[in-house]
Amino acid sequence: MKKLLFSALLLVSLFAQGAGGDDDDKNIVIENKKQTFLFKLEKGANPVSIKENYTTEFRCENTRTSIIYTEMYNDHETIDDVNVNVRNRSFRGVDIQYDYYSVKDVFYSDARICHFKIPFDESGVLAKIALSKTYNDPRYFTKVYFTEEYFVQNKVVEFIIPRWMKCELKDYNFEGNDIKKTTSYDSKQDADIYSYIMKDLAAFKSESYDQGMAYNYPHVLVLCKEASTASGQQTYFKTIDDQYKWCYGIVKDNTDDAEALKSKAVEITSGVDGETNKVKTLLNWVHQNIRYIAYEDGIAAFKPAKATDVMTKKYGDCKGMANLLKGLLKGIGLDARLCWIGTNHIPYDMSTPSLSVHNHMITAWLTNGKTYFLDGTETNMAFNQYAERIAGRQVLIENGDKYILTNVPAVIAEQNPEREKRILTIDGQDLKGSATHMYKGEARSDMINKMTGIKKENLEKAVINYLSESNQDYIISNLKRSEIPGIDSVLTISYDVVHKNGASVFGNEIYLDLDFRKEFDNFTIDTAKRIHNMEMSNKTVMDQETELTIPAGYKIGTLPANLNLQNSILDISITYKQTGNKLLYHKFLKIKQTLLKKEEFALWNKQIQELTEKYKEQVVLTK
Amino acid sequence: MKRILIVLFITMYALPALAQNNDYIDMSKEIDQEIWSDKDPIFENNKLPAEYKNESAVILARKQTVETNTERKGRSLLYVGKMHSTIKRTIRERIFINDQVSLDEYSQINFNQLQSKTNGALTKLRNYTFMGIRVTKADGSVQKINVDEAAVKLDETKDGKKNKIAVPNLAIGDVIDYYITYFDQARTDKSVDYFTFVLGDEYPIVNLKIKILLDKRVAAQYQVINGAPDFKITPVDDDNLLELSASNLPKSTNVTWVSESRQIPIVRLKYAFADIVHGRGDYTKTGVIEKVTSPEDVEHEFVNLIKPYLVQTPVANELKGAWKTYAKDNSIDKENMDSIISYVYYYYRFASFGSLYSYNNGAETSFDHFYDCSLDQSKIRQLETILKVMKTINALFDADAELVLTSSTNEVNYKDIFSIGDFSFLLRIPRAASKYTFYNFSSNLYNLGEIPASVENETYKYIQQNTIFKSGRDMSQEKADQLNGKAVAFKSAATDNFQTDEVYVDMDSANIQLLNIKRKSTAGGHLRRDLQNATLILEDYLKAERKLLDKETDLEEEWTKDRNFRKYWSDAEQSITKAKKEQKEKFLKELTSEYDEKPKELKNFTILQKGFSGTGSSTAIEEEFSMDGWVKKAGNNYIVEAGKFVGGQLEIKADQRERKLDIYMPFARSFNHNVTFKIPDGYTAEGIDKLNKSVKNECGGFESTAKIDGNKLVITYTKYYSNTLEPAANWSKILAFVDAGFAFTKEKILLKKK
Repeated sequence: MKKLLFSALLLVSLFAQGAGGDDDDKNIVIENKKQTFLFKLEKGANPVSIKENYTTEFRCENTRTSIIYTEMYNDHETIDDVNVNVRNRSFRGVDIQYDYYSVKDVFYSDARICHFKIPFDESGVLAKIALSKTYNDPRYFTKVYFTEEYFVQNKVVEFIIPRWMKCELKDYNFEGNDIKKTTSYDSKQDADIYSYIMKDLAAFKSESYDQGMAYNYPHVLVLCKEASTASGQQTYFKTIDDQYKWCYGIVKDNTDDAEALKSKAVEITSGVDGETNKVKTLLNWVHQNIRYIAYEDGIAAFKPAKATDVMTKKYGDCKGMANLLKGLLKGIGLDARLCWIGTNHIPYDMSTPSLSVHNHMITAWLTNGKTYFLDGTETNMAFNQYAERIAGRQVLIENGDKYILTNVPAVIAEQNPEREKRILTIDGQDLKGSATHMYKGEARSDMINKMTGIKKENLEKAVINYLSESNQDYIISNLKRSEIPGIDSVLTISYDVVHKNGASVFGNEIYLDLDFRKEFDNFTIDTAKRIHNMEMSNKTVMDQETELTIPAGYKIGTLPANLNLQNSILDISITYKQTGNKLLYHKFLKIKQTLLKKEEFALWNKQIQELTEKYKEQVVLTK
Repeated sequence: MKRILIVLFITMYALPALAQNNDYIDMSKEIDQEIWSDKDPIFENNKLPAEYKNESAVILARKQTVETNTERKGRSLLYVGKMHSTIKRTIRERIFINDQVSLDEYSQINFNQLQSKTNGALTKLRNYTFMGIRVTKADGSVQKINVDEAAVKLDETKDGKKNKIAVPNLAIGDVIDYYITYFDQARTDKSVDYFTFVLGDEYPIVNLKIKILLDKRVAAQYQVINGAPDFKITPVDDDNLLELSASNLPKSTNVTWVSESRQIPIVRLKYAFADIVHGRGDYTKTGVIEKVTSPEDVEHEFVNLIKPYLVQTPVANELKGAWKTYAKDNSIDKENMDSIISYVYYYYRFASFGSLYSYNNGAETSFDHFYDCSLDQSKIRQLETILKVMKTINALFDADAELVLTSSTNEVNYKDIFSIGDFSFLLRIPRAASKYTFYNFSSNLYNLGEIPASVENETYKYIQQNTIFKSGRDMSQEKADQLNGKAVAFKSAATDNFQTDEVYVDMDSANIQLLNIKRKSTAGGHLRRDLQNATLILEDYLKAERKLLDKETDLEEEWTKDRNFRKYWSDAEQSITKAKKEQKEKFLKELTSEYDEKPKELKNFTILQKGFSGTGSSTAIEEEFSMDGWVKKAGNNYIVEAGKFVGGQLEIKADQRERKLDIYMPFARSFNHNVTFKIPDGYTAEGIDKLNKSVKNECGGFESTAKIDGNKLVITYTKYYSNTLEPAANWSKILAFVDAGFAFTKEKILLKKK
């Protein structure tokens, strides 16, 4: 359940292969696309289905090419019919393939892909695809994206919703696009018809530091509420209560061997005093012992694996890990619950009940009126620290027949500090001394993730490379670091350092650049090219201090001016201070918000340019 | 688990088989039983050897077995000579998981469970794969994994299942023990097939065994090279058992400048279910196993292979007329052999890479095709061209051209050639005083007489055209004897393969921290092709080639004149136009890689000399651009990072500094930079003396000088590598000048306000 957004995400990743950059120069365009979704009554277990029909007309504008056309489906969706026309004639050479679709980081999912190649022998060639598809459960029919893999000249999307079906369409990201919505009533079908008519729709284009795609592309969220059918009233997700009932219904009968969980929990926490310490120990045990392997397969995308299975197999996905944590906490007599949550990858909250609202599962520990959240998948986040992707997000906590709706605590930059302190002296042309780094929160988690991704034999070299920014003149020795696994929430690294040629001596003067790292140097945004907002992975504080002993016989000749810039996104403070024979360089950067909106780009760029200029200034010591 | 995936690549047979396959299940049980009950002591060790405690994973034991079995099926006349052969291959490994990386790698396994049956002569032919996994926990307990339960099915056809297995309860400190068995039945034929065993992996191997049981109907030849141990061969009834073992094989890491084919122990086996026929008419009989220590058999096999091809290849008589016209138009003596040899080379280079008809599959009009200036052709196509050219130039001009067989440094040594695929091909034409002109058709970027660096200084054999037709005798012996059986190609020197940059640096009048730079770069020898690749587009080559041969230089006319190509012209034209537009991006990339930094702006670029003709000619380009961030403010003065004016220099990183393997570099080479920096009015430059450095030894050297000349600072920088191949012991000498050459790039000067 890590990614319900899934099929849409897959498409983006496919574009890179299929389109071959064609979206930029618009070699292939969609002249027309007509797409309808019709709600239908069915007999059998699923009384309502949605029939999708579309025709897409492609035109080759410039050079001869071919494209790989793809359509995704899964256990809840079937592709019923595909017709391909090229040059107004049925395309006999078409080779339609249906395959398992493998998604990075997902071990197994029910995602399937239908794909085939369409040749465009010369410019001007037209191809037309007619495809029909059935969604056999309205619960899984959650959203429709308007954006396509190619530039769209004209497109009409129609939802035909008979009045026996209660369904709400919610529009997202229409601004800046030419999309008109009309509503009409068809008395013959006793149905409301919602038409979205759009022109000149840009193709998908992924950029670095993108938010989740539901923030960037126009789409409608389809909220299927209820239906009057021959077999009676069907309630889908009319309210958040309905949604909770459905989700809870799937998990509540999960049978686990409580005794086995109890004895494991007791074993893990033996010798640990206090409930909080026991929870920390159990969370750490799950983090260190259970590998993340994701299954997204039909109902299995919502149903956690048995806690005991996860425990013995030593792998699981977020649901399995959440269920195991719950089982272990209960095993030592604590009140633990499963929680459904949507990460910051998706823009929705519980005001729009839909399976699109959740894409993740965690565990809550309720104690003395307080709630702590435990995320089994955040392997290197400590207890009571929250990753940006869940921080501040709405969360639905299991609570018998009635849920608890609350929020995960929001975090501030200070949760994730990365501090560095260097104490240096000048020795000829070199700077010599020691350095200590301290990482907490997500800064710690990022650093450990980087380290565990490296083969053991290369680890120390890789850490040195990272800390020295691959600069062999920055010689690190005597590297020490705190133990990586463990419930300790601070990672410290210390070492001795010689920065060869760190001091430039010219006659009676020494020129020094006391900033070794220069974060965000030239990190301005190309406002002419950038399309979307930017999102950084987490809030953070970078706090660096360098204390330099001024050599005997020297005094300070020139000190660059201090820099102090503050706004809602980023604080920058750079100061130079002399105390006795010590020169103290202090740089403090604080990313206060992760989202950088387009309208804030100018502000960001101005700030970064000033920082970049500051980085070009040096200290001069004179005799 | 990428490693296993490679082993698992198997051809699926198309014919449908029986749906129910009890036979597979029975055989699966039998194999499982057989493998896990193997008492070989190499599988008993669960301990991580102390010397490998810091490795990501260690292969404690690897055993590869091959078993053949041949049966004659029935006596019916219909099946005369038809036999079924079975080859059963198994790889079993025990791997100690020692960190998160190897745990991730081995905890998810893709496995194609093949269960295919095809129609054979009398019975069904089976093509099956089997897999088993066990985990030995740190406490010594063994858990057998139920592969069917742990697997999810990705795809299923009548021929088998594609499975993905999540190995349960695997942790760091455990040993994963798995096997894969391939069981392949086929109707036998006389064709020769190969097994290759590479005695090395990305992880160290503590114990390795190879065990091959060949039945009496199999003939085989094998070789062991690069220090691989030899087989012990023992007869088992009428069959032959080949066994070898090795221990403590180091991991073949990601090391720069190596030739894996020449440095990692390799065992290759060539086998057939029939006598193996050699070129001179003798055989390796079935039931016989021969160790091969010379490439002679392969040379003969090769000559036999090309003989019929050479007979059929027609002489291109039209070349004679083309040459006469060309010679007349250019007032060249049509009997002049040097001119003929040059013309013929470019004529065929054009035919291979430049003409409309050089494309096999219709018109290639993609942007990528036109954006890249280099075109390659496969070894087979090279050989076809060489044979065609040999026959033609010998027939029309009596040139005595000879086919050259050699080996490239990327492949095994010539003495270790074991299959035709190991050869590289050239053509040589004798000139005065035992000098030769070489033709090489591997890519369009080679001019007359130029050969790839990878075959320089390599052993080669040459074959005269006539000897190819003389059956049953050693075609190369007669002449080869005169040269003691071997000849050696020439070796280019560091000065032949050069790149020289003339650089003028000026501070921007409006922003003193911005530098305006003009650079002229000239590259020759093997380095020319790098510069051509980095900056030129295909149109540059196509035009140059046509001009060289007096052909129509207007591509449009040429395309539209041809009925088949006419309709593609508009596509091609758009790609050419786009490639031209994007050529600036190429220059920008070249500059970025040259200076390890993206220029702020590329204002201008020019190609001064394309270098598509003339032996050893060079390519030259010129660029004007600006660089930001190299000038730092310090009070009233400026620190200028003058070391960066010579571009980014090679840095040998920490993980490459220790070295046990000999050093295979691409070729000897030299890099020169002559920099002129204009000192702005009102400032003096200080710290110049630090820019004078020199480190030289037998492997190469680096030298820089700097002096003030009026208001200019003049810097020269040169670095050269004297040899291609260096023993590992010389690594410290290479590091000495490479490090010094790199350290120079960190040097700064001071501009002091007067």
